[in-house]
Amino acid sequence: MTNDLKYAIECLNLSKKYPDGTEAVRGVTLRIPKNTLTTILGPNGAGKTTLLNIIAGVTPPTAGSVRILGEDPWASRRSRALLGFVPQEGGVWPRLNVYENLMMAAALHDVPPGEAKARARELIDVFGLKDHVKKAAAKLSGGLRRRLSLAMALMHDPPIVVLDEPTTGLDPGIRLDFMNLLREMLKDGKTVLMTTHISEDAEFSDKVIVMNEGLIVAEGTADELRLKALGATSIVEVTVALREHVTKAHELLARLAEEAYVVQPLTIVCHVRNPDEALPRIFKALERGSIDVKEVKVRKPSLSDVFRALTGRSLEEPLRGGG
Amino acid sequence: MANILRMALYEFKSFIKDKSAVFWTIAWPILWVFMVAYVFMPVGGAHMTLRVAVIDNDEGLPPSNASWSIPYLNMTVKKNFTSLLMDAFNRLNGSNGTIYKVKVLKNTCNGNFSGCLSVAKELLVDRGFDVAVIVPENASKSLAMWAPVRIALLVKGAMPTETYMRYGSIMSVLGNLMTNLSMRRADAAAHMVTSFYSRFSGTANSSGTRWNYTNANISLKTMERYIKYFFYSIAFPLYPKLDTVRPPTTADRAGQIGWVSVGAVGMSLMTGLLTAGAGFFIYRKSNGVLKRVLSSPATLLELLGGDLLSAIAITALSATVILGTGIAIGGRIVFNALNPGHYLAVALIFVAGIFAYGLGLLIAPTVRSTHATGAATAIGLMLVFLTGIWWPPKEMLPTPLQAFANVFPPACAFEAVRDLLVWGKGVAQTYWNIVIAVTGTLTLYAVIALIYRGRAEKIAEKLL
Repeated sequence: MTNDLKYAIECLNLSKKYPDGTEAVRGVTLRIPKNTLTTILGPNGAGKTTLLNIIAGVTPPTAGSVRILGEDPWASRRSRALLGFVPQEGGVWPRLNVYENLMMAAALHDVPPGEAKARARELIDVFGLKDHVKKAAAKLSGGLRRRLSLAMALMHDPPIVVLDEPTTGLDPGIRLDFMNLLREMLKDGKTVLMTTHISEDAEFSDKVIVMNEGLIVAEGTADELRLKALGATSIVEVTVALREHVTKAHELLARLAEEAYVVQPLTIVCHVRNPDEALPRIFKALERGSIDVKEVKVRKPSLSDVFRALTGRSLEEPLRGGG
Repeated sequence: MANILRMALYEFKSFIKDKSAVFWTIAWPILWVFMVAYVFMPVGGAHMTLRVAVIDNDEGLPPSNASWSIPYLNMTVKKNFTSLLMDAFNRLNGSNGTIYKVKVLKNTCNGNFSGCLSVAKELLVDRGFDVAVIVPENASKSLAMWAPVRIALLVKGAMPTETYMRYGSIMSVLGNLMTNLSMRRADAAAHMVTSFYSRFSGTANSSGTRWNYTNANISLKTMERYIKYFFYSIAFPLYPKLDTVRPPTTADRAGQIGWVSVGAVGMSLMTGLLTAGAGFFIYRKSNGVLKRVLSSPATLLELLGGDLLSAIAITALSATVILGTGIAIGGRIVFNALNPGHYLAVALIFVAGIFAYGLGLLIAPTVRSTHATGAATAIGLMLVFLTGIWWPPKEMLPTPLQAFANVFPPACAFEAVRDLLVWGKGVAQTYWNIVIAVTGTLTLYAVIALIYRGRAEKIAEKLL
């Protein structure tokens, strides 16, 4: 029955209000297509974790419904076997070793012992944990612990894997490896849903859902979001040498770009549709204005810029409440 | 059920890999067994040392050429008072379980009583003496004159029981001295009366009556004996014979160690498992395990079942190691495989462990941080000290606490375990302890079921 469904996860008008009055999720509707990697992007406190907790069956919604491959995880605990969850905190038993943690995860999902042993061996190989099998989880590096946590979520071979901020606190190189690992899982037909506040990680996704203050602000592929939010494909960053030139430079650039704003004391960010056409005009204007320019950079806008354009906030700036 | 057993196995493995949990549940109680066995109950029996200061102002016996006559002085007093007192200390040293360390201090207060009192208080408060005896300047003279000797006695004690013990101990020395002096005086008095008869027999007194001792059947020697006994009876109208009967808890060293070992198991369970129960949610919350469990098909109650089974395994391990240590150092803990009562005792240890865990579960919803589980350890410790599970024994507790201990299920469970395994009693003799332990535990879990039923996930969610 579940194979005929288009979406792995469907949420309709999901809301979550905590007893202290905080409305972490406000009428969220989203659909996660099967066999895709989808990222919910938002700052800390945007409501991502709460939304994921509702989907994973950790926190019940105040209103709305969730369907995991057509089944309601809040109606039947057994349907939770369709999903593997990787909590932000890791969800590993710190004193148990790698193998024991995997076996504990198998016990939680009632995987028969023989099958569990074979599956554990397989996952240990796939996730590069072979040299650490006897090591206590608490003694693993951050990256290895995330791998273990993901392997635990896969012990019962679920079709959907849900990860809450899986790359937070990891070094860039390890983050890259981890994101590639998630993409590899798509080859096995898995559907992956994760949250992050790191825009670079969201770039790996087939679909990005931007979340702010408990609401979904926008969704689509990364490029769709860039065009939608910025109306631009490139960003020109102009850094002036003198503080007293910032205001004048901002005024000049605002006339030439789709949008221009000051991000650091001496840097003005300009959104441009076509950098080849825009750059000569920018240089000319700055020269006429006798602006002392220190540096000019051209880059593709990040999803962090997209978030700023959509919400007026920085992705790195945590919000109060939510979760 | 199979997955609960597997969860229990891994929870147990997680426990035994936690060095601090193993210390508190196994090593710490063993340390206490050793301490109590070798520090508080030294091999060869316990001795109380009483440090006594004798502030001696005595001027000694009067000279033999004193102007007043001292009847039969040689028969009653041959030594001065302080020497007689020291003899009494030496006679009793070690005989009643007390070692008297006596120091005689001469010329410390020039016979001034209030001055002596200040010196005595200083000796007790600042110089480590337990008892001070102030001997007045006329002590020996009073002895010689057959007058009472008025001594002052100061006893140090932070608590009434301590004061009574020291007072009793010093009074046994003074009682010994008094007995000695009374007998000497009775002997002298009898001799004096008999001499009076023999001297004045046949002579007329002032009114013309003649004294005449004519009873031929009783010799003067016999008469002296009768008079002596008469005076003895005045000096000692009662002559109690002391024999001590110790309660089983302190009767013999083997029993004491057995008693303490069972108490140590109690301490281990009441701290370790109570804390484990109290931290059920919070320990799992802090590393995200709680979320992983909630997102799985396993229910929290299944996890709780696994954790409880793990707690039972911990109980078994802890009890085996601690009781084994107790037996190894000479404790009397007898397990007879053919005695069904002894299996019941083992089951009661588990009952106590399950109760302690349950008590922890009662407070688990209120525990908001891993640090707060320390409060559970404190509660467990208080309970073992206030209910006779550990020390002091139940019979030494104040009445209200005894009443509480009599209905506190783990205290009853361990009382029954001691009755069965240490004192060799039968099940019938400790029947009520068993009934209270079992019904109390069942009642506790009924309350837990009421609190948790259908609400375990909600409780967990509140803590996330």
